[in-house]
Amino acid sequence: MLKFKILLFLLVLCKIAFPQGHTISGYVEDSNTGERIIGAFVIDSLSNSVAQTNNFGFYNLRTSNRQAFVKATYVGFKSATIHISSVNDTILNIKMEPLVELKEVVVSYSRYTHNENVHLGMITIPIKQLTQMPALGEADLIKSIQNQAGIKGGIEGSAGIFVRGGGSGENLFMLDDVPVYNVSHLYGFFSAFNSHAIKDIKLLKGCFPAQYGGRASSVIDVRSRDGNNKSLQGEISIGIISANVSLDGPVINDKSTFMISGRTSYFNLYSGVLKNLDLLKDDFPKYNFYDFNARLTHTFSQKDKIFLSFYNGKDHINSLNSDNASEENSYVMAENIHENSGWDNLIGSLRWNHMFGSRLFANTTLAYSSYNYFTQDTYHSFPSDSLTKDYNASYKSDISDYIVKTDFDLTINNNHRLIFGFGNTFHTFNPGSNYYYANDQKLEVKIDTSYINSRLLANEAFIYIGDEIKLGHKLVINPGFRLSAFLSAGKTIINPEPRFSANFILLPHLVIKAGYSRMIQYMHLLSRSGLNMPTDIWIPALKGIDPLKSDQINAGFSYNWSDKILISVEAYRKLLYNTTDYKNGSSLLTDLSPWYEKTTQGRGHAKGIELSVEKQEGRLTGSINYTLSGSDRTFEDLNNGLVFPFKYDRLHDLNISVNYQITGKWDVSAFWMYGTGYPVTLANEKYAPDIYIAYIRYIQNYPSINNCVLPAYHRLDLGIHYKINNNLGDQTLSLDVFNAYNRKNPVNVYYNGERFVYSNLLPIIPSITYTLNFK
Amino acid sequence: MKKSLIIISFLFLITACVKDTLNITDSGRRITINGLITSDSCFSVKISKSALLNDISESTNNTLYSIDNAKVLVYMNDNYVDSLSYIFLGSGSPFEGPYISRMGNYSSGNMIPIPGNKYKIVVKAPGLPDATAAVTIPNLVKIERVDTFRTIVPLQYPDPYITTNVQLTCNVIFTDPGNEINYYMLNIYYVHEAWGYRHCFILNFFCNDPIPEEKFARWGTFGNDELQAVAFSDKIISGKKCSFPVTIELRDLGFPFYPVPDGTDTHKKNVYFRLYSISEEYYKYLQTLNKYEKNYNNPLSDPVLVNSNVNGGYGILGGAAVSSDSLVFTY
Repeated sequence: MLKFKILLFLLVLCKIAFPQGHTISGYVEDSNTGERIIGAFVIDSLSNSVAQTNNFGFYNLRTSNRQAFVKATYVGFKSATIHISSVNDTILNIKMEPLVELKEVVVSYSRYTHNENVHLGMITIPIKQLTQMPALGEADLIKSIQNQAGIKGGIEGSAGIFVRGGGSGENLFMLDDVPVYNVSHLYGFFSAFNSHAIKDIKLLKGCFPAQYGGRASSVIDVRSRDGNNKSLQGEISIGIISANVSLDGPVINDKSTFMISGRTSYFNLYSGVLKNLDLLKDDFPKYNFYDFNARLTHTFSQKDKIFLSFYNGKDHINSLNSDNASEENSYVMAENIHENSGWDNLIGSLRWNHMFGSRLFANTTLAYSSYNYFTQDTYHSFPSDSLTKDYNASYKSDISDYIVKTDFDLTINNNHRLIFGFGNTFHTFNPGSNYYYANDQKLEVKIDTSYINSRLLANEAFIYIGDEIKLGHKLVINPGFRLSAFLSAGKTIINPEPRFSANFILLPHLVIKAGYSRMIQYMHLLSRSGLNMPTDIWIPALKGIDPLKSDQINAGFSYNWSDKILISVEAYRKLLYNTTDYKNGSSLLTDLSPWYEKTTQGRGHAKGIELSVEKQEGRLTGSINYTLSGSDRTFEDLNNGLVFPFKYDRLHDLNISVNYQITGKWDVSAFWMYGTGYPVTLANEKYAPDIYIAYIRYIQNYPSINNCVLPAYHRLDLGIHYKINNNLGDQTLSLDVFNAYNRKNPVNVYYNGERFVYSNLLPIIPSITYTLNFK
Repeated sequence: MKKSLIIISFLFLITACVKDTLNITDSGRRITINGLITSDSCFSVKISKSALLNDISESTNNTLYSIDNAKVLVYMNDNYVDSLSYIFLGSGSPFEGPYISRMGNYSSGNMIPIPGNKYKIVVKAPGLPDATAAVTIPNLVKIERVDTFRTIVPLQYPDPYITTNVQLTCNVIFTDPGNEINYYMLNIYYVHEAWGYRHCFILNFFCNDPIPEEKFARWGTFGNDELQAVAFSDKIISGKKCSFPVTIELRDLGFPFYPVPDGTDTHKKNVYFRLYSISEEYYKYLQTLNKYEKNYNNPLSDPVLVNSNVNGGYGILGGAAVSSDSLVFTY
């Protein structure tokens, strides 16, 4: 009996490992540019088998028939159908032609047709949507993500994102498989991702596939463009604050491509004029940012391709104020105050795609990523009594990663696909060093001190396997397992991360989905504000600080309405363990104690229901996203150990975006959002202290953390775009109005000694952008 | 269509309006209990009343600092032992800095807290919800001795008031009991006796030792390093003999720079070193109060919730066993 069972098992194994039939595999490409398309569906119309292209545009379809009608479909492209007749494994690269704008095309397959293949908790943001929606200055990836269901945007204008009750440091931003640590320019008003260099954006907020890990709440997987392999093309875009130039084309026809894209701010060029007109304060600092993307690809053969990518983004603020002042003894004194700060990201990667046979695809990545921040304030005075004062305070922190990893994608048959891989990241953390120098000849004070947190080295390794199994025609299951380890200072932490999701076709257009995932995060972002500010610092899970762990369960359904509208409903519940925050009263700048003494760990809990309705094809496109949610935190050291609402807890969140193509030249767009106000901590009473310290004569009593709620936030953004095509190329003129009805949305509240007064940030802001696409 | 657009635009414009202030919810006043009951003085606490945050009336300060008609009951180990009597302290402030000796507006005539016992007070006042607080007096940790040595500090600029440039470093030696968590506070004061009068003053000191976790500077965060008190846990001295160095400047005691001529009146200064073994709740109170002061009006920090062990009210009831040692200076 045992022999029979073993024989049966081996037979089943052989059936799985060596299925009958042959393989059709290859890449799906844009016929105009040769750019590989991510997420396209490839269908064999005869056997009705379906495959989807991976992050490199690769697909693998298995068929037992000699004949196959292979059809590729993707939003914004005409379906391409190819008939092939073969009994052997075949490499077939499919070229898809982009749809001509405006035409209402009836397609037999849309991106919603096979939504049973789409993971619960995953959103793909079309690049076109970025440019169509009204924007504050320019199309912005982060702002677009903030508008999705289940995502909160933090304070108005900031680059923070808070996914399903998670913190701002729980999101893994990846540019071409490499983590990006700070994703903001201009304190968050612009994201570090240049939308002109991006090809595909995927947001995962639950049911994470096994290949993703390292953060507790979300993964934002951004892929940059390879470049046109047919001809040279470019884009110039000029807005009120920044300008962008992109150029891409072939180096060797069909073999090598390049893509470069640079963006810089030029606000400083005319800030002097604004100061002269008294529209800007004289002490307004000089602010510059830039970013630069470059990419080189080379196709060695149909089976081998390499990608060399580079990214550098930098912000720099410089303020120099000279003044004459008089001190108490009527000394005339000249003083210089110089403030200098900045931050930058530097990323480089080399990736190699290789096909082993026709069914196994591999991608190997070698990468480097670093982020650093510095700030320096100097003060120098020359009083008339020649007793000078010199103060100099500086702070810097940085983090850098060396990454090596290999990911495999194995198609066993049309019903069974395996992904697996392994990798390691070598982290170097510098959680901050302060330097302080003071030389005050009048007060006879001389200080020359450094407070340096020692550098920390760590290895973060992982191995994973994920499976996609189609059981019959109705059920798709995705079991997965990831094992991660963190090694530092002779200590090793190992954590299993099980993942599971299942999609079941209940009715022809109705798919119900459910899943569970555990994510482990070995590094914490210490953030005072949650604004994704450059001063936030990354610290490793060491010295009594445990890794952050999240357990999330999701359930929902999606309904495909006539292949035009997709309605999705998702419910989730997420538990966060070892979430980290500053201790009561501790902060980065006012507290010089080591970072591990400033922090405390606790638990988080989030739950919610998300409704999403989207239409992405036709003249009228848009989406409605609504979230009903709640999230809280519990720390033994905060709020007397009692539960308190999370800082970016928002009960209701509604985003509506619409774009309408009026004619071939004109389109208009609108975006409206409404959200319950964020909680804030406000005092209600004051009482006497037991002892006086300095000037403190009473203590303000805060009943609890986040005890009040700000008024509701809502605003309307409008945009109109005019396109023309002439000898210069395709030109677009965009006029956008941010906060069209000038709602004064309170972003904070402060006590002015008599009452609480709201502070607001962004009034109505019109902006104009000109874009030229040329070939 | 036109009408609809006009109505929608009108509605948007109306919703653009938002009130620019937030009213404070008034949930009524509460009793504030403040006090550090010590093993070397009579049981005494300060009872006052909270005020609405935006109450800036003239009477607010008095309202904050005094209730004269409260009933204050004291329980030791859950047995009623005494009730405290109101004492008029005038319109003075609460204790200036980390204090020399404590005097509340409600005191017992003869009850002195004993280390190891739990004390609970129940405060009832007309029109206010009852407040209770409890504390156990920690065991005494004795100062074993105070070692001293003198340093002459070179003066960069001659002092026009001709006071001395002598510093005195005093090592306060004590042994932390092991196998338990202990919290301490240390301050120094001096008694000036001259012409038959006796006055108490806080003596500021310097301390660069890593042991103190909380330093209470004379002028708060932005002042110089002159300290009025330090507080610390036994985190790095647990179970060890500790030599705790503090430096005082003799000019603060009024020492002259040049020797006093013969025939001048003799001045006598008693300098007292007081080591308080304080309760954990009081230590947390000092810790959070210090952070409250450091972060006051700092937009980059979240509000600090000052620790309290008062149920139904605000404030702190701390307990301390006090050990004291002294040095005598004459000139």
